[in-house]
Amino acid sequence: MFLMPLLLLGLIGMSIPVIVHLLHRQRTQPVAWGAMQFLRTSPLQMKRKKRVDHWLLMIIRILALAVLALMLARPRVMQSAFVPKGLADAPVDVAVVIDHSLSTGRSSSGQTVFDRSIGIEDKMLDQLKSSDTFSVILAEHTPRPLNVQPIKKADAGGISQLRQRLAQEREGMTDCSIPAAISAARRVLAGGRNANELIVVVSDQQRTNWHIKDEALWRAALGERTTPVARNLTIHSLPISPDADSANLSLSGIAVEPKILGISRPAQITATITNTGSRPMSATAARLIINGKVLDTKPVAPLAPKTSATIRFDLDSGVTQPGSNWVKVAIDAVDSLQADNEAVAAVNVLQRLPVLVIDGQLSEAGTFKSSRFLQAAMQPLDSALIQPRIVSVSQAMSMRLDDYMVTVLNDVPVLPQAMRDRLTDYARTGHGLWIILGPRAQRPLIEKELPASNLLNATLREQVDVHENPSGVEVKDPTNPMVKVVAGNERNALTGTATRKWWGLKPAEDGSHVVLAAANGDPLILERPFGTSGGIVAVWTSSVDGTWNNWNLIPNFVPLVNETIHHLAAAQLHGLENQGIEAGQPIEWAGPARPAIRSVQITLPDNTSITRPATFNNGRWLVTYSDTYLPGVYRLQFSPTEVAPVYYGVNIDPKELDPAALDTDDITWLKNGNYLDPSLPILTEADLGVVIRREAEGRELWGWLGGALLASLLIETFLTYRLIGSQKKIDVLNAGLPTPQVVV
Amino acid sequence: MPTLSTNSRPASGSLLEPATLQKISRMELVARQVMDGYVQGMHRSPHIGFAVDFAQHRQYAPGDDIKRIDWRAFAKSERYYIKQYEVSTNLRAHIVLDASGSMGYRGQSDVMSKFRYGQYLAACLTYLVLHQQDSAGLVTFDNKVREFIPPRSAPSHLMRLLHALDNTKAEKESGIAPLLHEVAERIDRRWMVIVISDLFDEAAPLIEALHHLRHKRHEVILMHTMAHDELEFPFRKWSLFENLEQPDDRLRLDPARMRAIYLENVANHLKAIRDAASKLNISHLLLDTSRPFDDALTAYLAQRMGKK
Repeated sequence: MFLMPLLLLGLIGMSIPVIVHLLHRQRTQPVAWGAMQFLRTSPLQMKRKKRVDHWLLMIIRILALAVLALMLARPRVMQSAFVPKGLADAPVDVAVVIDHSLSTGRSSSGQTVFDRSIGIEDKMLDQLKSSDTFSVILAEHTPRPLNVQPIKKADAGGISQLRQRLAQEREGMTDCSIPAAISAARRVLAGGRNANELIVVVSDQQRTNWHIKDEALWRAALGERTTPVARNLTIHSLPISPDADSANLSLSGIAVEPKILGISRPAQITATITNTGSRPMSATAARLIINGKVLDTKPVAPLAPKTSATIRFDLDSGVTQPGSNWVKVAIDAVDSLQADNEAVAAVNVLQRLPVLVIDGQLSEAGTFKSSRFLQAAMQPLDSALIQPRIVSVSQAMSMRLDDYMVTVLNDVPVLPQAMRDRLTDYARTGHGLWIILGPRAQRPLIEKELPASNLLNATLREQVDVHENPSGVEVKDPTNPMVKVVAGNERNALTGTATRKWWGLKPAEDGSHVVLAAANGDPLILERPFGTSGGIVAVWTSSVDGTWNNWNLIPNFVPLVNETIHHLAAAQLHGLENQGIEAGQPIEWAGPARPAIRSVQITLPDNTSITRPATFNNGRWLVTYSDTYLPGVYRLQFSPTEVAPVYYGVNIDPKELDPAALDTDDITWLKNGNYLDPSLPILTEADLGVVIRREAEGRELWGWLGGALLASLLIETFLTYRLIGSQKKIDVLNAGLPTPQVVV
Repeated sequence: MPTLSTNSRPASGSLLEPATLQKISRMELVARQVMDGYVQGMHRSPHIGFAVDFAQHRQYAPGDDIKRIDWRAFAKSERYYIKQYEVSTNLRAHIVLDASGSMGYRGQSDVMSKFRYGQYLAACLTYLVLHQQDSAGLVTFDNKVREFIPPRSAPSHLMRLLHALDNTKAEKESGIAPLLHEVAERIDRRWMVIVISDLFDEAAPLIEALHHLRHKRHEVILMHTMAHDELEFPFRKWSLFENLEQPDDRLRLDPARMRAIYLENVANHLKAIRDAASKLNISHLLLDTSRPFDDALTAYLAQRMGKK
């Protein structure tokens, strides 16, 4: 049997020396000759020797061409009555791709799919002969070969180490790509020397990981399979189906409210429990774990198949530890898949949210009356998250604005140029600026100074006074976070407000966004993003001290102020929201300019660590990490350490919970695309020996033929050299022949 | 001296080109040995008696011709003495020209065939011999003697010889050894026998024939004529060698492969003849037809002069 039988046409080349010989003979030129006696009578021994040499040379040349053609055709010797087994059995490079995705943690006949995959790997290993090689590639989000080079079966130490490494593996937690794993297997097999290559994919055949119909991905992974070179690579799939009749509880959708949590403030943590199996799930319990400590346990009612329930933990005293915390909800259930029995999220507890209120009062003596309601709204309790500080304009001149997440200009009559410039920089570096225009504000401030500093992008029309007929408010953008809580589409809690005076502004076309407006359409709340770091400038065109309206008296004034502050601080709190993210979503953290972040050490759920540099952009330190395919808690440890560590909770990829497996059409597609062996795409365990033996269809003889070719070339060279040598000898003899001379 | 202009046969005249004859006429053909003869000439004779130059006195013995008694010596000594003379003898040269088919071979770079070359040689020698008042004869043969012209010294004999030469063609199979035996038998006295041939015959019978000639006390000169190609064997491509003497005898072979064997055979043949010639005191001259034959002849004559 030949791997490339077409190249046997090269055997025609054997006739070349004979043809050359015959052509030479045919082109004989007649010579009328007298000295026939010297051609006929010759030293017999020499003549015979020469003739033998010439014939031998021709035979050797024919043989060399034949051997070359045979070698290129890559013959294999099959075992037969005439060929011993040892010669016919060709060694095989075998690679087993073991699906190590999260879904292989599902139970199957009392074991997990992954554990059964290891058992199959052992069986394959038993089938191999000593000259075969073995490789194991774990199909994870990034394929992970357990051995870089194929290990010979005869290498007992190497095989033992490989088995140990595999035994230490636990169930996978990520998604995986089967084509990428096959590609990795091919790279490992490229290091093998055997001509036959066999890849067996042992998986649960979860459809999402096979990337069916993704021709580009499969082609990239496998190369052009139609080339003859790839013909000795055979790929089979050996499916291990998870138990179909089972119950499985899956925990997802963990959420923490509120999004920005103050220390010891009440919080709610919710999660969704779904029975994804086909059998009902009995009652069980769910535990709430914060920073590794179980804080609460809730019963979970029995769940019918394909039904869900939401479980809620109320933390009345909130989280007492400031900074970043991680929270986990876990179900104590013995079900088909353990990996989806818990969900994690991060809880960021702010000790305080510092706000600077610059009051327009000229005198620093006494209290800042205009800001009294504002302060009360920000800090209804002593333990409130928002910590306002009220100062005059002159005091603010000497203060460091970066210490505050939000700055409020409360009815300031005028602003010095230097202060305006500082506020501009402040907003540009991702801070929130809240400008409240009231009775003390002077027209030049609104008409010139604020627009000149780009803090206000509107023109002043007039000061509107509807004293006798106060105006209501109209919510222009109910989705805006400032008013979303109090003025949704269905419920407008601002209905009872009466606004008597306001500064009538006309926002520029591409400028401010109107959130709240008066009955005549004049904006009451304007908002505009500032800079590229998430800074926001919000403008209220009416006062908050009760002189121009009654906003301060309505019950929703407190949430309105709080939501406004939270909204304006959003850029500063970016990345610290209380939420869990899904596997594959990037971790994005942003921090203040001071202190400077030198590097970040990211500790992954498997306790490995990666150090990443932080980048500085627009006055903020940024850290981004996108390789979050391993679910669990990620911890960001900063250098310098005065920046507190931050946790992120990453939950499993919901795709891995998709029970859909490859169907007949999918197998047909894989077969037709030649991505799996068309004759036997799907294997059973019983087929393993057959497949491996089928691959061993004979030993390739190119090594032997190469040796024969080398030997024949050496003999040819020797004979040619000898003939040339004798030819030279003849010339010497000829030189010594008698020339016309007189001999007496 | 005869010239071409006096020759009534242009064909014969063409054999003796003036330039060639001019060179040779300045030479003297001197026999290596003293030959007995009757014609007084420049050749020294070993025979004493029929003399012109006095040699010695010998006491009379019964049977001597009384005309040879020196009466003056008798008057002085009262004894009978016979006067003996050393006389010049004439050279009787037989030119034996091989006219077999193999002599018709002409090499790739040669201007004439071996036979033509031999014809020129024979013509030159004939002229020289007759010019010196000596006798010249001619034998041409292939597998048998074609023509046997006895030697004569008459100038008119030249024309006959040249005519015979000119009418001879190289053809048929040769058998040199038997022919030389026949020549040895047919020439009854000590003659100079000049053999012009390629000597393509087995060495052993050839040497035996040379022995026969020497046994008959002939002086033998072997003018061994071979084409340059026969000495070099320069052929490279596959060739069909057709025997000039036997049309049916053909050999197809690779000359490149055969060359060494051929040259070794030639060398062995030449060595055998040369060794035999040396042993028999025979002059052996190997002539390459690619070289001017007159040069070779001139060199030969010059050497003969030096031996005198």
